[in-house]
Amino acid sequence: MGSVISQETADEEPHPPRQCAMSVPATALLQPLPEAGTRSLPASLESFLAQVERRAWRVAEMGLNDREEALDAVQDAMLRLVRSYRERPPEEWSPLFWGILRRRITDLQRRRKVRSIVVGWLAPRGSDEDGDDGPLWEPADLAPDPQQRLLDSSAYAAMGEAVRKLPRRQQEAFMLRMLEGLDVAATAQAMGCSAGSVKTHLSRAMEALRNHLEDWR
Amino acid sequence: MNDIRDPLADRARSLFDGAVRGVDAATAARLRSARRAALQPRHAPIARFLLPAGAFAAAALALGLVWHPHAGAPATPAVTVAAAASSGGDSLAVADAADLDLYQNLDFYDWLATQPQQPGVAPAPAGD
Repeated sequence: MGSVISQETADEEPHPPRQCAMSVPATALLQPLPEAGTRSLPASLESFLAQVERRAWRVAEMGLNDREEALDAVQDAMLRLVRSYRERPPEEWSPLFWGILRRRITDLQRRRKVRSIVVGWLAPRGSDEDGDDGPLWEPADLAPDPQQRLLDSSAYAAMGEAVRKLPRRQQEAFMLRMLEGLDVAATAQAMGCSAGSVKTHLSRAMEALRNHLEDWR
Repeated sequence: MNDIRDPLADRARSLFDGAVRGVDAATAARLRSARRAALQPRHAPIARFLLPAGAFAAAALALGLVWHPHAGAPATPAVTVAAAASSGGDSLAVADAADLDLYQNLDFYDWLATQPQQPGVAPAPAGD
């Protein structure tokens, strides 16, 4: 993972500094991001949901490490957004939706924890080690280079594993701010905390991921 | 999107975007159907309220049908006989129309039915 995730993407960084992954100050992360990847405001709730549904599923999958539960979480978040916040202005949909999804993921994680404790009591150790987790991401067929796809697939799987090792609030800050690209205010609204807390959680998350990256090398 | 000059963040975002683009067709279809289901008009709450109400009404009707013959059966023949006897057997319709009155004065009509018949003399109205 380390060697893969630390690869510099030549198309994004013409002259990427090789040591930068370990040396960038945390304050650099606190600079503003364009909102949700420069996506424009959706014209309707349907177009908003169409815009975010796959990203939401990937975020839920990363948090839950389960495709079916991720689908359930996204469907539930869609339903709740439509039923409760349909009349809200479009600029509020994004933080509301991600906030709903975040809470749903947290609920499912807690349920799973309780279930694993109960199952741990009832079943002998090692009985659930069936090793059928499988890859998190099967690369798209359209990608030009199979080897690169394979590297990206394993890098993404490793990144998901590393993110799941983070404390929950750091996970949320990383996924919403870094992966989904929400700005600090929207991330704070979705997480139900202050902007300062978002910055703290994100800074710690990035630091922990960098440490993982060092281990992976 | 790439204002943050951090290769780790850039790489993570790039991998994530690639994973989003690589969502398989089956999952994408399920997400679309979930979206459509979420956007459907809200008839479900009405159905949720109607279902128990309908079940309750049906249960009440069934209970009424089961209960009513037992409650009315002993009184109906006696009332009919009493009314027919008291009016010379020609006013069953009147007896039906006066059911409520009969139920309220069952003792009187029981007593009346036991009285000997006097041809040509009509009994006094129940309410008088």
